[in-house]
Amino acid sequence: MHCKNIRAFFLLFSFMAIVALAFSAQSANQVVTFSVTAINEIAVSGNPGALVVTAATAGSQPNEAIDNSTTYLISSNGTNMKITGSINAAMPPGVSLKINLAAPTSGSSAGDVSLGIDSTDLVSGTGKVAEAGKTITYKLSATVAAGVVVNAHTTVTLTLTDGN
Amino acid sequence: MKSAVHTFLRPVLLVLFLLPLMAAAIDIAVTGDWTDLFITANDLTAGPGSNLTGQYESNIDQATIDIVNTAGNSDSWRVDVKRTDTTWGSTAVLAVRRYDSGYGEGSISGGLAYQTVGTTDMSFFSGTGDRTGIRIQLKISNVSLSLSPGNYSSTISYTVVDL
Repeated sequence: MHCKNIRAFFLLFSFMAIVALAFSAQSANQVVTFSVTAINEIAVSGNPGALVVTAATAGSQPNEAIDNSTTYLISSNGTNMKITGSINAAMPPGVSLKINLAAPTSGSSAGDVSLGIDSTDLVSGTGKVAEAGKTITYKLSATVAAGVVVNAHTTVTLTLTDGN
Repeated sequence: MKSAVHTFLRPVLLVLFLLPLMAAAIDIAVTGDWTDLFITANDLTAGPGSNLTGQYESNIDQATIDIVNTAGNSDSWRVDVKRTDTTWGSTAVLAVRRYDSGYGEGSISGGLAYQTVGTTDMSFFSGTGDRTGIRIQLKISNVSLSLSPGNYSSTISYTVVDL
């Protein structure tokens, strides 16, 4: 009886070996890795037209000159980013240049903001975004004290940066 | 004494007879990883305001698979594929295809079109007999700016099943 058990064990083992062989599987691995860098790109469609303050209502400061012919484009995979703005040189005394950026879908605009040589927040809280055609509105104002200013140019720099 | 020989020797001989068959289990080997994909602002389709290209293909010979140690040209097998993520972008889709048939006297079929690699085994291609140098091409798609900056990694497992 004992011998029969041993023989049965060997036969069972052999059968299991055959079954295991029939369904045997071998594996090999391959690693796939990719990296996404921080992408924060902003650009403008072009230069606005000349802003010329020409008219005033009697008894009031001259009327603002307004241009909304340009747009900006933004691509970012960051979160809580912001757009800041600055100009390369201070405006002449009595002259003010304001900018207003339409906010992307994710983000909020600060509205009309006076530009200076120090960066100022224009849009905040932007998330992952790829949008174009966001309107830029410039408003140039001058007080009567500014007098006549001829052919002044300034460069506006928009920067997409971390808002944290 | 004779009974003892029959009892012990015959099963042992049977196992010894089976051992060469067990040694003939089909082997699979994969050579080549894909670790040099860096997605940057240069991958924006049209610069600022646009999204990423979204789809990236490896070289056609990013990896090669060898199926060896079959019992002969009539020995059928199937290769299954799956992925195990280390860190993977939830939206990114990993796909794999067999670029060519490699070499060997056996046959090979299926797997020429890209198929998405999931987290459970799925049939990739099948064949018979030894085949070596089967070139494998990979594709990662559905990559957009919604994917946060970082490193993403997954391990693809190719399993040969002896049919």
